[in-house]
Amino acid sequence: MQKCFSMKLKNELEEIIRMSKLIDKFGDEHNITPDTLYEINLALEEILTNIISYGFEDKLKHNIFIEGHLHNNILKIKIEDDGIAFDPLSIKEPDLESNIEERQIGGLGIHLVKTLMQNISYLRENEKNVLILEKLLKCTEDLIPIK
Amino acid sequence: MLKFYYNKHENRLLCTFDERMDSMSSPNAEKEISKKIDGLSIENLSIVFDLEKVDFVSSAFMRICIKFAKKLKKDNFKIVNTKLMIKKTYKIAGLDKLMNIE
Repeated sequence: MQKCFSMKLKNELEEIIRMSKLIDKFGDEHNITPDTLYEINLALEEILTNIISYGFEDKLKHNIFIEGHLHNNILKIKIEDDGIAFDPLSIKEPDLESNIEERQIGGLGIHLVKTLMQNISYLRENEKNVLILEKLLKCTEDLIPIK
Repeated sequence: MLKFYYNKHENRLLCTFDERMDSMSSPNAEKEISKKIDGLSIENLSIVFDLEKVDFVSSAFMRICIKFAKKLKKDNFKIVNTKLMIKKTYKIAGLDKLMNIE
């Protein structure tokens, strides 16, 4: 399995943009389609926003570690933080059917991540949250122009 | 930068966005829009979000859309010039059935 990127982020929302630039660079290097890149960036935005906004009960600085590994066209992104235990897979699916008056405002972020990724796994290890997102990559070279 | 264009005759507020609408930018946008509609008559007010210059939205921005759509009468909230990937994201969130997204 090839390690293709890694980054240490501070627990500040501004850091998400830095992560997004790294993903875009990875996409350029591997000819990933813009749609696939968008989906990866969106999933990371949602996960990191949750960790940074709700993961830390103190006001101290924390680090979040991100690593991307590529194997057989599957990108595995490992996200590790030392915040409070939080398993995104335990979150109840939001109600997507109710009308606008009854629609709840929260819960959409995790739903987007679950829908856009092929697989998600979570474990709590050594007082840390370890989340692994798996995304099947589509490359621009795979696209056959229509004649 | 978020810009506003208000048509008094139609009681319609057009909001144009020109940046990534994520967890960083969306809370400020929400405050600015709330401040703007505070002085307007909510009765028959319509709000249009123009996303022509927006390439990325997260659930933080969708929450704003739900919030303002809830405040208004049915069909009085509209999103226009939406890029395909953003439309797809609204569809996954089940919002395409609740608001007019063009």
